Amino acid sequence: MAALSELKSIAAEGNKLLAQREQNIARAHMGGVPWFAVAWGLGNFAIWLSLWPLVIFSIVPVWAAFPIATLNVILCYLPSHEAQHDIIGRKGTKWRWLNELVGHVSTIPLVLPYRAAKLTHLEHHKHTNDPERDPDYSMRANGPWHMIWVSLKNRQPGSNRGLRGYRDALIKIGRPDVVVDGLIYQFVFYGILCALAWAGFGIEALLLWWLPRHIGTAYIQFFLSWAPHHPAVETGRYRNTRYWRSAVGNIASMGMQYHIVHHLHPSIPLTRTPAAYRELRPILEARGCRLEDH
Amino acid sequence: MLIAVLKTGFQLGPLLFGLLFIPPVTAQILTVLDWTPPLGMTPLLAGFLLGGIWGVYAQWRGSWLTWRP
Repeated sequence: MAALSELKSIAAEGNKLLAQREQNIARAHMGGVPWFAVAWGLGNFAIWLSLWPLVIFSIVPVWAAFPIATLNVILCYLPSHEAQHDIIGRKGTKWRWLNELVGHVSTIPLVLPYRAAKLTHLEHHKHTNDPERDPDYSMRANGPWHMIWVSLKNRQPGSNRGLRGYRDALIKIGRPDVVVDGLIYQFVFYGILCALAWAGFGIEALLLWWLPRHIGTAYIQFFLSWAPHHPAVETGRYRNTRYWRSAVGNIASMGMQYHIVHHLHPSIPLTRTPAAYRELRPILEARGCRLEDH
Repeated sequence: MLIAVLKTGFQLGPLLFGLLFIPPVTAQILTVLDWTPPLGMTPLLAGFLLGGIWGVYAQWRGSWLTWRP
């Protein structure tokens, strides 16, 4: 009995040491303003915005602007994601205004209100892979092609899953006021599309915003919601997401190969997660994390 | 009041999209492709036909693509 108690005590001590080492490594990768994310978020939005006059005044052909706009939408979420975790500027610090600016502005091409994105994303972190409480759980799918189909189905008008399920998630956490943000964004988005179409710029509206938004939504959901959590059956700090090798590489999968680092330490900026992962790897192995190199 | 209007607009979204966005876009695409709609229809009328039918379907079924949402 005494031996068992001693073993438990040793295990607890080992656990504590491991946690301390993990915290020390993580802390070394936190702090400072991630200026790259700031420039990315605001610059990406500026490029997308500049496409409109360039196309409308026939300086750039719409067929050439379409892939740029699609790339802009794909790239617009992550800077806001940094802001959602207060990485650019915490409350009460001098860069807080910049944090909120990047958070609000960068996802405009995606028509995703910052407050709704932030609250639902934090719920995702708290309840990852919980069928009842994870707002992103409905992005679960059997494989890559099925995921694209799920993403499309979740966006249909009668669906209450995916982004359309955020309404219920916000009500559940007692923030129905933020649902209004989504309604206003949708109203303005479709209002602008219709106005442009009746003004003779329907193809431009279609190829600079409507279609890029659909492609971008699928891409973001694929690499941020589905791939890092697949098959999304386990909960718990060290098992609810994974390190994985993307067939398209880390940049094209938007840094999400190292999503496990983000879930464990959300205050580490995206660009520092690969380095943090390399240092944390022995600890993650000891914790039994899902480190899928193949 | 504003929220009620937004909610109603959201609930009638497919129908509104079918009648307010699809027709002018369809007309513009048909014109660019230099394609004449059948039965003497104007490009805009063809757009209203397409957007109207598809929008009513999406409003009714809750999906633009499938029978079930």
